[in-house]
Amino acid sequence: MRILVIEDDPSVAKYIAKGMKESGFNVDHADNGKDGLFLATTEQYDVLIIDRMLPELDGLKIITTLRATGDETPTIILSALSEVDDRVKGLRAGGDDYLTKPFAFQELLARVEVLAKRSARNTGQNNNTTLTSDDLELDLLSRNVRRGGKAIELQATEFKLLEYLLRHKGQVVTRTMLLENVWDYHFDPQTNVIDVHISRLRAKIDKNFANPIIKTKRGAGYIVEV
Amino acid sequence: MALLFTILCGAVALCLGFFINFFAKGHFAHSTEALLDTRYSYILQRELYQEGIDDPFLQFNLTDQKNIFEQLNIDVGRLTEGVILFNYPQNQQRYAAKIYNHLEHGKIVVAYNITAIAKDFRLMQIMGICSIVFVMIVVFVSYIISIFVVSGTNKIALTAQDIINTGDLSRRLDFHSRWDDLSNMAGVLNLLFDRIEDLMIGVRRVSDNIAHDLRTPLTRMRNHIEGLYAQTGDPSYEPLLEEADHILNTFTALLRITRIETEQQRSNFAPVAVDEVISDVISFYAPLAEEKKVAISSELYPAQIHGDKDLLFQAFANLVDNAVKFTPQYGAINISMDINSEEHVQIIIEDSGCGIAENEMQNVFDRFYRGEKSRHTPGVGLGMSLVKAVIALHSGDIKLENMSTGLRIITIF
Repeated sequence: MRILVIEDDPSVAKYIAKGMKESGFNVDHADNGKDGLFLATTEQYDVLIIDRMLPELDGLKIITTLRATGDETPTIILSALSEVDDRVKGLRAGGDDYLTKPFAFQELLARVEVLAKRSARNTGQNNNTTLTSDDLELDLLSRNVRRGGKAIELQATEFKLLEYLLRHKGQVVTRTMLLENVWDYHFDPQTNVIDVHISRLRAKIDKNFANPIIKTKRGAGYIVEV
Repeated sequence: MALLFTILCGAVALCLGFFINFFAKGHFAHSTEALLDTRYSYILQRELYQEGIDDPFLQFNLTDQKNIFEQLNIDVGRLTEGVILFNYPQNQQRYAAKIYNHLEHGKIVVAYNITAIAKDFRLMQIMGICSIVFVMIVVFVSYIISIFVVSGTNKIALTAQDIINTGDLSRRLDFHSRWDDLSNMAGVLNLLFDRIEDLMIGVRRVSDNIAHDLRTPLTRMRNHIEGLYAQTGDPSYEPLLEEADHILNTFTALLRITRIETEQQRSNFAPVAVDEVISDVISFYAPLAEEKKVAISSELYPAQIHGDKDLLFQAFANLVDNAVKFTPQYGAINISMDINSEEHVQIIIEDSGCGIAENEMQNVFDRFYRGEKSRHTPGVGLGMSLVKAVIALHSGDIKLENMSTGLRIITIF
């Protein structure tokens, strides 16, 4: 997996590159927009991480230029501008995800992994209607959940939560990702409500079973292991 | 307004013209009659009963056999009661006459030559009409001017209202010339708008710079701590990380409020089903309330407003979060909706918590303000400021009321 980081702040760039290398990615780095666009067009990458405010060429310009040439490489925009407006602008320009500085590395890693997987999946689509983990089965059509052959009653939100976690099996899913994808709102919960939702879901699917399906990744989020 | 003004002016001009005409005519008639009466008493005194012209007077007798008017085929007009007007064919002059009954000489007609006066009077009449016409022209022109002025000021007011409503500070008043006072004023107002826009851009740039230049090093610091924590696994880094996140979150929240307040970003506005947003908020907080054994009941009706879905969710989430936080165990929260008399959507959130002291009511929307009773609860005191900013962005209103137990928050859109 190859990643291109276009970021003018050397410290942030170093931090991302170091973390990504440790997580098993090949990382290239450009410190201005022009070099970044040159690298992005000449080389083949799985994911691009682009800062919004760049010298020489603005981050959004890079993305629109790439998209105009038919390059659909998944892109994460990094920005210190957090307003919904800016976010919408970024996504409209063709970005696939938007992450506000400051971010925890785990948050970025989780999102990069989701996008990397998506770019890998683009070649071979899987259209499974059943998601599984261990002895848990989730049927997307009948919306039934069974564990060890026993039916489990889930509420709509709990079902969506479990579905999202299972869809990203083997990847860390952060709380913000859950907020954005399960609840479909971009906002900042003041209390850790997500944890309460997860613990309720756990009470239903993991109770009376030896090995838990949903595991907590300290400082990052949750994971359903393969 | 302009029309009313014109109608009044026109009416005044017409009345004035009519009165001038009426009084002039009345005065003329009376003075002529008096003159004829004087002449008649003079005739009686001096016994001048012979017919004939004694310029400017004319005198002749009228009997049943001899009617000069019929003989000379004279058209007789009427000036006023008892005073007649005619043209005397022998000298082509105009006379005003009165007929007096004399015991010996029968009917004596005493006439007075009014040719010159009649000419003057005609002239005056023409001038009167002219002045009425002139006043009417003035009224008409002022009507046109007032329409121009009124439509101009309305246009300015409309554009200004639009700028307030949309928050689009790049809009300008549409005036092409500067020859009149109104366009001049519009030009000056446009300069004022330029200045306001510059200031707002300045504010935005400053907050953007703060965001970029201060948050980036803070992030770096946080990342260093995170790196150390990952390397060593020393749990004493955990509180440091939490503290850094706390500072950054506070900072982000503060910047967010500022940006909502100053920029009036409405590009994300779309029709939003408020009831759906609220039911999403309720279902989001339901587990938290359940854990605390707080019952949330709701009565929602389908209602749409024009707004930003995410910001509205955030605002109601903050309100419900507070309600859950300040309602004691086994308490109740009720969320209801209403359409008020002016067709505004009202959302009413009632809790059975401790309420807010009256002297603190004013302050809850201030940044970093924390009420006496909330000191020991988690939070930084920015939640209600954000609620207020979001509601102001939607041109709404928020009211707090203490109930016998708990607090009622009414938001109006």
